[in-house]
Amino acid sequence: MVKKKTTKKSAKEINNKYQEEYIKNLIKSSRKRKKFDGKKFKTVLKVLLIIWVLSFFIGKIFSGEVGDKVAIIPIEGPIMSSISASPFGGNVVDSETIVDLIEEASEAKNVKAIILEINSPGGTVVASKEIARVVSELEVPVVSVIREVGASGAYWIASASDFIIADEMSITGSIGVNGGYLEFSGLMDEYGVGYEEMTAGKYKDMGNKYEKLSSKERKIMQKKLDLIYENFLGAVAENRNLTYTRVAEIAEGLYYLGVEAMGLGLIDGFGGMKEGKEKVEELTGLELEEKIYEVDEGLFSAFDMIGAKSSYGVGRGIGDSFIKGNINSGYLSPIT
Amino acid sequence: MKKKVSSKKKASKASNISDVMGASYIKRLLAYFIDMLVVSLVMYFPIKELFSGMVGEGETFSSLFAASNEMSFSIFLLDFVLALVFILYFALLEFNISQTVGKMMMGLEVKSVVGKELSFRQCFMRNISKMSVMFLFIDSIYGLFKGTRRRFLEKYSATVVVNKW
Repeated sequence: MVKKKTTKKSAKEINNKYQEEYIKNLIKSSRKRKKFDGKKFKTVLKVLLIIWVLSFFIGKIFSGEVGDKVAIIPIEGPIMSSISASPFGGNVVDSETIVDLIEEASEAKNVKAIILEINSPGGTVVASKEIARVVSELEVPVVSVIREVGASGAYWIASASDFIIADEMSITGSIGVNGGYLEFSGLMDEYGVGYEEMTAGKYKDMGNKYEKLSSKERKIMQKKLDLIYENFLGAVAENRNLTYTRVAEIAEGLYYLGVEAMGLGLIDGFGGMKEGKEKVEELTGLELEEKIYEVDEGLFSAFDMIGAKSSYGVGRGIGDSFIKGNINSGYLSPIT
Repeated sequence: MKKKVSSKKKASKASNISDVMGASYIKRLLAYFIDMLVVSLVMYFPIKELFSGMVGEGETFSSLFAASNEMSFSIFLLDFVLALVFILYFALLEFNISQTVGKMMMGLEVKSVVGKELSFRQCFMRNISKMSVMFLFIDSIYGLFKGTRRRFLEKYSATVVVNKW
């Protein structure tokens, strides 16, 4: 018996008993249009209710992700241009990290304002200036909230913002520059220890910790500090809309409590984070939710911090002078 | 001698017949617009705050996508979840009563080509392309090119939309 090969035929060509039966069943199963089916109506209502409830929960869940935000960026601790530059390891503010956080916040479309939460005694000139420059270039409103202390380089950063809030007892100001290092020449003389160095360039070993500064060298270094100081004064005068002369009068490296700083025009209001948030909402005219931008601490960072804190406890006296100068190079590293 | 036709062949034949028996695209398109309107109205009030907060003056969703990685992901996830809810509307109604609001108004009905009852899997599968207008367009183009009245996913899920009256 020869088997016939079945080929695919289009629906139109099929003309057999099965087709007729199928069509009959299809027509039978189609009922006449009913005017109103109560059961169907209830089912429709139930499904629409489910959809509505789901949408409600989606709205609740996502409103936290996509609503208008105020970015809160903490600046806590001494400000340096690199964490490795500090003997305290992770216990300092790395300016590069802060700049990255500020830029990340400003690029997010739903971030409508930024609050800098400052609790810092200051830091190195370049690091402070880096952050201040980025803050001054921001297009969104920026409010600085000074907690315990916002002095020196930290005040430089705060002055670049649109509004400064501090507590009446916060420490601020300290507009000045200092630099110093341990000088061991006397100790070496006592123990008959000599020091031999050869340089090419008259002032190459200026600031050498094994020799006293000559008066000429002292004048040169002082001039450099004065230059940084003038730069600092100019920045504060421009940021705070004060005259250079006025800032020079109130600066002199003096620190002020919040209540004093208000009278001098160094801050704009009293309060804390709550007042800071109210201010940004006033400036933007929006209701804002807080979103904290901070560095994720990894495991090694945590160990680093523990080690750093222990070291500080043991070498506290040496640690103070470390902040004032870069002991590795023996050169002056001005701190604002 | 009578030959027994296998169920696979039956399904294949039924499927081929359904290609001709299906409702017209115009009626189905109108039904789809009605359904979109209904679902949009239901979903609008719970989520309108989201959209008014997200998109500022002079902004569009596509500009928000480019804003930051974080924002892009949030919008993508929101879009995806809303699309799933939209598909759920079609799947649940078609599974329970073989019709949606739009299909009811246009006198259409969804039928299974294999078996009597529609399964939830069939209803979900046939509506997946509705998560995006682009996907739905591509799905529908299949039917136009093949000269059938069924989308690709309808053929895949063994369902057909027929005229009820």
